[in-house]
Amino acid sequence: MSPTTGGWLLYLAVLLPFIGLMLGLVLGGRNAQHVARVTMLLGFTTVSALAWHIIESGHTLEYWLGGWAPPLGISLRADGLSMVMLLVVAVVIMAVGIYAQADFDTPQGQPETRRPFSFWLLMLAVWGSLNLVLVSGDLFTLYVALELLTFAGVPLVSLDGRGENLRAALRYILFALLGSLLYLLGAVLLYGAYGTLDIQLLAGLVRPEPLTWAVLALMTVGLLAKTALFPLHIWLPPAHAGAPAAASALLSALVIKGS
Amino acid sequence: MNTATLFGLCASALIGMGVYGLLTNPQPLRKIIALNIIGSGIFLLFGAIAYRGAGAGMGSDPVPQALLITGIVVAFSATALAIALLLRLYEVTGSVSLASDEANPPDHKPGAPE
Repeated sequence: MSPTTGGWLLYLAVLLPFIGLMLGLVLGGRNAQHVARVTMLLGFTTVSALAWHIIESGHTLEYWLGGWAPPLGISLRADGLSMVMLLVVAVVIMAVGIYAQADFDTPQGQPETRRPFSFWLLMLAVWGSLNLVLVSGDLFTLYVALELLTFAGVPLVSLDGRGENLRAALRYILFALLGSLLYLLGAVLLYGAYGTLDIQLLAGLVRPEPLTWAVLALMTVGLLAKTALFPLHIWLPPAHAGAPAAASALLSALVIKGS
Repeated sequence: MNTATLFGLCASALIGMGVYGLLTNPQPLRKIIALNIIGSGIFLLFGAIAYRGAGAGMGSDPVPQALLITGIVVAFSATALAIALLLRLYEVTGSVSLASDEANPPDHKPGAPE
């Protein structure tokens, strides 16, 4: 594989929400909402362009960060499946954004209120980290993206700030951290055995042996905890039920699908 | 037993202790510390793998070290977020238990920060 034309769309899809997040954080208050609105439109356009590019050219998009080739460099990759997921995420984010315009509007006459301000910034954070999950080409970038997704999801759970929300958020972060540590342990063992973390290179190297099965078990259990599948589901009902409707839509529809 | 094996065994011991602590301690702060011990074990294991995979003329394989630093930063932010949640939970409810509300009636302090 080598970098393809239009690969810059991949990092743009990841960077745009984070740029919006930082702009919103600096500008503050009602501006955060405007920034989120503009970022949603730009991000949706980027993802549509990316999808069009993949459909037209008919092959996988690939981008090498800094021009460094894997296994030393980091590659971003999007095939047909990632493209569909990116599109779905963008559509859900747009829908939640439109719904939340009323729910999370900054009240007139107030410069900044905590709930709307946090919600709009966290929504952009969820979007950026999900796009990174979907386009990352190696296991360690995937780990960092999954952690970012957790860091965006946990504050969404505790958005209302009541005691039971905080308790649910704390339980969520304990489960999610254990899950991502198990995943990281699997990635570390794979690196120890095969000397690369790039998913495509690994696919050609991996052999059926006890170590690979152990890694498979660790990663599966870790991601089960993050996705809240039985029997590691107990954190989910209080966390998702206690979040405001729009935040709950983000959590149920997007955050747990990331892992 | 060579050095890499010794480090690997230490790492497994740390991970095992962390998992034991996470499962047996009900207090959230101890669970957070246990998660950090698991994290340290994984980082030590990665360090041992780097040491074992040293190329010609190098002390150790540099790629795991670069990844380790990122991993440590991520683990640090996760701990900070968890501790911040725990502190706010104590401010709002006056307790730090993870048990549900029936076992632990909510005790909303008047004037708790919104």
